[in-house]
Amino acid sequence: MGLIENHEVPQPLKFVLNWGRKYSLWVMNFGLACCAIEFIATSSARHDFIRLGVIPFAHGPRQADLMIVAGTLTDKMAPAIKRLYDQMPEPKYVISFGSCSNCGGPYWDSYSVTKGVDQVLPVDVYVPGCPPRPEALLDGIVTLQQQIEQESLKERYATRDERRPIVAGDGDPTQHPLDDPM
Amino acid sequence: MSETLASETSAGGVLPGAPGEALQVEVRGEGELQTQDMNLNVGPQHPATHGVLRVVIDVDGERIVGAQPVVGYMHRAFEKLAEHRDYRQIIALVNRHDWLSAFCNEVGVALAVEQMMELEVPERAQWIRTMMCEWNRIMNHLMFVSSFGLELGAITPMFYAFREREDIQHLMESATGGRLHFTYTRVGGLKDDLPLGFLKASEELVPVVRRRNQEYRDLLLGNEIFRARTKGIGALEPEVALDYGVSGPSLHATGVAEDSRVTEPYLKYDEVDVAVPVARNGDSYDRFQVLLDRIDASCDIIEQCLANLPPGPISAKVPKQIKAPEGAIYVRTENPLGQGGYYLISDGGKQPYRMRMRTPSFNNVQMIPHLLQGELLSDMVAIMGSVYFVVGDVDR
Amino acid sequence: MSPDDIADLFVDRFGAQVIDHHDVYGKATITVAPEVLVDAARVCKESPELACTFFDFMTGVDLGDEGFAVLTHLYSPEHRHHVHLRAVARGGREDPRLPTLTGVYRGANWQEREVWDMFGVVFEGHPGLAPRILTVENFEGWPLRKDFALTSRLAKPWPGEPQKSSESKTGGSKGGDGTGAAATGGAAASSGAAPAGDQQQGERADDAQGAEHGAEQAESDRVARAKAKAAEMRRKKQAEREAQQAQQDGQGQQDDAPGDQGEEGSS
Repeated sequence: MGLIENHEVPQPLKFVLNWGRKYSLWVMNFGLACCAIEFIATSSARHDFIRLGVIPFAHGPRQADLMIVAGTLTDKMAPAIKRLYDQMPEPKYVISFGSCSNCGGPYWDSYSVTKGVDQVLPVDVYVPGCPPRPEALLDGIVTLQQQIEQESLKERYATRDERRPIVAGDGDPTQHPLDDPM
Repeated sequence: MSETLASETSAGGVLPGAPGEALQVEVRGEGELQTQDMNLNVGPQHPATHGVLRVVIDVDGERIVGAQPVVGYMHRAFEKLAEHRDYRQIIALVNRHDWLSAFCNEVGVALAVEQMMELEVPERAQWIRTMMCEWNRIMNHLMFVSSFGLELGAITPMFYAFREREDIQHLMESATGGRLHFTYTRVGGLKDDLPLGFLKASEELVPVVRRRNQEYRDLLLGNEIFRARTKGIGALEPEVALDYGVSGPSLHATGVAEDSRVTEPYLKYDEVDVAVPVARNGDSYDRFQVLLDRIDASCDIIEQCLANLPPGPISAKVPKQIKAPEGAIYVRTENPLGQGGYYLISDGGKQPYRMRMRTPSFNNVQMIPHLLQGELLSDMVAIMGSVYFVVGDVDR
Repeated sequence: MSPDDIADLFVDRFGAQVIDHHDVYGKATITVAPEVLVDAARVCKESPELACTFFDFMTGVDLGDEGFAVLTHLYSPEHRHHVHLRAVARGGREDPRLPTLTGVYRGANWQEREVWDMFGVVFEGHPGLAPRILTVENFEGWPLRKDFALTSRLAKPWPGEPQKSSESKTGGSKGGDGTGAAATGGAAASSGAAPAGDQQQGERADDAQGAEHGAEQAESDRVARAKAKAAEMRRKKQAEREAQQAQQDGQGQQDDAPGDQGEEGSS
């Protein structure tokens, strides 16, 4: 392969490619807390995000394109989410769903909560709310789809390393406060 | 214990190896082959743990010989944060530790502070609180109806249960303004009175929920596969349950009808008939049956609340700055998942000196290794799904 | 059994080892010496008149200089009474220790692990307190002790009350505010304070009073400001209403309702 990663594809092909990608987002549900319930509500009959091409039945991170982090991320959980994110194939997207995963939310002063999932993963779309309504998630998904529609895969692959979040300890596992306890 | 098995023994059938040669196999118990124990890590992000619970299990073949839940992945330091918040903020905070029973949690805190301040809460507020608690209970149970079905491979109940959940959420949202975290209670009463049309909508919704509850009964309890996977699986004894402090549907399924709505009525539970459904065997099937029966019981209570709802004010007169007097109090409520309680120590300030949350899920999850011992790996899902817990409620 | 009867039963059984007992909102709270804690729990569970078979919860309480108390709540489904069994850990703040209740109640296992995780109270004879049950394994400190500060709060005060924040911060750095509250809290949780501690406590109370006085001053200032603002709002509203009234008189009566709504929306 390497064709898409290294070369800019012609506009018509890019259009078709992105069109196909944006309507088949297999989602890895990272349901952590309250927001996970609203995520399930969004996937069920009344709000139904499957009509937007978001498919909530990814068997695991290796089959997923999109990770929706719904809920509070704690320092104890952070290594696990990082590990699962690293298992996802590129191009991969992250929606941070809810105040807790955006910035810590009501636990802004807690000693055990990671203040925002963007300290661990690069986030594409933030959905605010505590918890956000299902409509807000639908809006977040549409926003992401618009981003996907516009983007060039070559650029996305080129900036893959830049998008890595800056973590404490420069990623050195011996100094890392979130080092892997598993 | 080991012995030599010839290749023609009935237990082993034809074993691999040179013909006629005896094979060294360890046999234990009633002719079971011994395999090496394997250490298996389930979670923290695993569908079977519905939430971020991690269970480290040792399996001998398919059989679980040891299990150890590892909790704390959702530890958000509620008890510490409560010491830094005033009572109104705490009500918003406790909504979130058991996110499926938000209203019941906030009522618990409000009751504790009100009892310490000796506030007289108006009748109407108490009746509304009672009714909302029961709506919240139904919502909570519907979630577990959906997730338990899903975990056993039935995806339909999820879509069905979320249909009712949406209806109830819509109803509660019309009164409280929140879909999941209501923050409707205030110390001394409620935030607002019920909106116009709420009572009528409630009256119409109760029979719908009751009818659809019967559908779940037919759909799941009547299902052959469901019965095969849950009957006799994970049976819990009443003494053990009490010893671990297990409460709620898991305790009622063992035949102990301990329910603080009946034994120590709070709110208006002493003026309504509260049915406490119990079962006998304490297995997964019974736990699920109790869950469904509780939905019906809650429907009855809501109807009584609707019939008895008096007019009047919805909030007592409270000082602007709420300060609980010095002392300690323990208030327990029957939350959807079991007994919830708040042990509040106040030094007379506007923030509690210490607030201990007694959460049902913590005790329930602690008991899980006891149930998993000796069961098959494939039954783990049926057991863990039926000991109803919310991970945020475990870790707080 | 009523709380008084329960207390009598314990006094009969353990004599002077029952340090303190009282009735807290209809629930008996019995403070026993650590030496007899396990026996007391066993009596609670096994004696037919108590029959507290339901193990509810266990919690630590920071008593300030005195150390830590651990409170166990037991309930009898049969007789429907509660017992709060309380013991102050030996060893003060440095090395708090208590005997384990895991031999009596199975549910005590995780509860004791949690108390250890949160307060650092070691339970002797417990099958395994480590690894830390709730916090990260390499976590340092005992989060629910009063001297454990929330770093986020020190870095950035609560946005809701900008005036109070500076006070509370200085209080924290003096060490007067936190422990002063702790001492009163200890008294609230009813423990006989040692005579040596009394004087200190008095000092602290003065300290706390001073702080409270300042707080009161600030509060009265704020109240005055709020009142002035409210009065101004009222005046404004009155003027608005008069203007509207004049308008309506000119317009006729059919616009009545929308006018009202508009006012409600703006207020």
